[in-house]
Amino acid sequence: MITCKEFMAVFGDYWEGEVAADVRRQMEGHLSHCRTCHVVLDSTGKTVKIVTESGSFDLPDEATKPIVAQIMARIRQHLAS
Amino acid sequence: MSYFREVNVGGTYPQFGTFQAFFGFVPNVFSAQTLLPRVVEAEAGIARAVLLEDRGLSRIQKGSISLTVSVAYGSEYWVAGYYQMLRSQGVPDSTLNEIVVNHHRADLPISDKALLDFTRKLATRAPWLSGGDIAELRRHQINDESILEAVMVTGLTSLFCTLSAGLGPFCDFELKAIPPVGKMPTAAVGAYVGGTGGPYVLTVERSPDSFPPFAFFLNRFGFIPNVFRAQTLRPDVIEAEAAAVREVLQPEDFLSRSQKEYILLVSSAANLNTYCVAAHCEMLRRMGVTADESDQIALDHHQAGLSEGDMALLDFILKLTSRPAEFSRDDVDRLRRSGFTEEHILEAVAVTALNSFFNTLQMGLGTTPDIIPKRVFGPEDEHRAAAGEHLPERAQEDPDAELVAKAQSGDLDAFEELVTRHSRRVFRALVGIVGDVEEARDAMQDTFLKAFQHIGTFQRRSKFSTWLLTIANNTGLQRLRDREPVESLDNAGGGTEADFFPRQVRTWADNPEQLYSAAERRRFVEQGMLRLPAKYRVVLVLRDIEQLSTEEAATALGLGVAAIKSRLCRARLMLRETLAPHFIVSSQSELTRIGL
Repeated sequence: MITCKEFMAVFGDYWEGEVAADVRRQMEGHLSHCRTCHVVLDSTGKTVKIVTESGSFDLPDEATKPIVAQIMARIRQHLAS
Repeated sequence: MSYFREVNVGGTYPQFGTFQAFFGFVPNVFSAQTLLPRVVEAEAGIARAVLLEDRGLSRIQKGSISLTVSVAYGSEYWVAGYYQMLRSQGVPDSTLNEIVVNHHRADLPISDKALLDFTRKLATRAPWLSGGDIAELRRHQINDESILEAVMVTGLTSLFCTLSAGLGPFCDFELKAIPPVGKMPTAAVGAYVGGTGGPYVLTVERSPDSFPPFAFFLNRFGFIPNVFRAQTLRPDVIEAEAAAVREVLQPEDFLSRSQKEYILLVSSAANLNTYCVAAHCEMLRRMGVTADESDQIALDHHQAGLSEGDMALLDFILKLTSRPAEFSRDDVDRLRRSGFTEEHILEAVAVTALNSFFNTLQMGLGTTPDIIPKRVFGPEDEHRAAAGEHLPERAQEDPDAELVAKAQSGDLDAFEELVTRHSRRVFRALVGIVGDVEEARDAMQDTFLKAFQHIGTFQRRSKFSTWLLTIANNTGLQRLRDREPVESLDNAGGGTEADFFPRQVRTWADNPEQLYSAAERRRFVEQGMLRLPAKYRVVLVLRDIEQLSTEEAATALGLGVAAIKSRLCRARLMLRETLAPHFIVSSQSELTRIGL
C-alpha cells in the first residue's frame, strides 16, 4: 500500500500515463480509498481544462495589427540604417 | 489523380451516391480505388449507415467531429473535404477556422465541444480513454446512441484518413481560407487504460439465429467478438461492418488471407490495441501460425522469419499506420519493386484503413478481449509502435516552410506574414516568462527583430515556430536577468518538483467552468499564473496554453524533457492551489452531496 507522499512523488508520471503497470495498479488502489489524492487528481484535470480553454494572455485581434505594424516599422528602420 | 490507376465506372456509379449525398461531391479518394470496386462498396456501406442515418448526431455534428479528427491526423486532404462539406451546410468560415485551430474557441454549444474533446482524444490517445471520458459526455446530456455514433464517426474518419495517406488523391478543393492546422488543446490525458474499461454504452441482446451478421461472425471467427456486441444499438452499422469483413478481408484474389491477418496484426500492434492483436493472433493460430510466431510479428516482423516480400509489405503497413504524414509515392513504388501489383497495394491500404476503423471502435467502446491476450500493450510500448508519430504535433511538416523560404530570400512581405501568424503566440510565451503584459509587448519587438536578423541562419532542424519561441525565451530571460532581484529559470530556488504537497483538498464542482463567465475564468487563470515562479509559469504557458509537445517545449527552453515534465506537474499543482477557492463545492452543497 503506498502513502499519499509516495503517490504525489509519481503523480506527474501517472498523469502522463508513464508509470509501469504494477505502479499504476498501486496508485489506483491508493486512489480507491484516499479521498484527498482523488480530489487532487480530479481537480488537477479540471485545472488543466480551465487553463487550456481560458485563452489567457491572448492579444485581441484589434491589438495585433498595430503591434505587427510597429514591429515591421522597426525592421524597416533597421534595414535602412 | 492518385498513386493508382483508375477505372472509368461512369458518372452514375451507385456507390458514389452515398458520398455525394453526405459531402455534396464525390471525394477523389474513392475514385482512386475503382480498381477494386468491392472495396469501395464496403466503404460506402459503412459510410451510408454511419453518416446518412441521423440517429443521435446531426450531420453538422458529424462533419465537425470528422474535421477535428482530420486535423488531429494532420490530413490536409480531409480537412479541406470536411471544411467544404460543412461550409455547404451553412456553417460560417469563422466557426470552421476556429474548429481547425482550436475548437474550444469556436462558436459551438458546450456539449459539442465536449464531443470534439472526446473524439480528438479517441483519435490521438485512444489507449488513455477511460470511463471518465464517457462520464464527461453524459454530464453534458449526450446519450448512449450519440456516444456510439461519435465513436463510429471517429473510426470512419480514421479509415478515410488512412486511405488518403496511402492512395495520395489530389485534393478535391483548394480552400485558401483554411488557416494552418493548429495544435488543438488535448483533453487531460489521464491514466493509461488500454481500451478495456467498457463496454461504455448500452447494448441490446441479439441472437445469431435472428441477426444474420452475428451468424456470419460466429461462422467466420467461431465466436461473436465483443466489439460487435457493443454496437447492438446500431444493427444497421453492424450489418455494414459484416459486409466489409466479407468484401475486404475474405477474398483471396490478390493478397492471401494470411497476408491480410499479418497486416491487421502489425497495424493493431502499432495502435497499441491489445484486443485486436489478441484476435488476429487467434486467427493466425487457426491458419497454423504459432502464438510465439504471431507475437514476434507483432513485436518486430523483421525477426519473424517472413519472406522478403511480406517484410516489405509490413514495412509499408507500419509506416502507413504510424507515420502517415511521411507517406509518399516512393513507399508505393518501393512495394511495387518488391513484386506487388497495384491491386495488391490498393488492397493492403484498404485493409489497413478498415483496421484503423475497427481499432478505433474497440478503443472507443472499451470492450474486453474475447481471447486472453498473450501480450498486453502498455504506454512503454509506445516508442516501439511510434503510435504518437501520426500526430501532427510530432511529425507534421512545418506549415511555415514556404513563407520561411521566401523570407530567407529577402521577401519582407513573407516575413510580415510570419509576424502576423506568430505574434499572439510569441506574446503569450513572453508574458509567461517576464510575467508582465507591457514588458512582454516590448520584448516581442526585440524577438521579431532578432528573428529577422538571423532568419538566414535558420536551418529548419525544428519548426519555425519552435525556433521563434527559442528566441523569445532568450529575449525574455535576458529581461529577467536585467531585473533586480533576479528571478531565475534555472534550477536554483523554489525547491524541487517532487517535494510539493497540496494543501487545498476540498472537492471541486462537477463542471467548474460553468460557475463563472469566460472572462472571469480567464482573469483567475492569468492572476494565478502571474503568481507562479517564472520557471513554472513558462512551462505551463508553452504546454497547456500553446499546446507544444514536451519535446518542443524542451527545445524552446533549452531544458531536458524530464525537467519539463517535472516542472509542468508542479506548475499545474501550484495553479490548482490558487484556483481552488473559486471552484470548490460550497460547504453546504458538499454536505448535501454526501447525504448529511
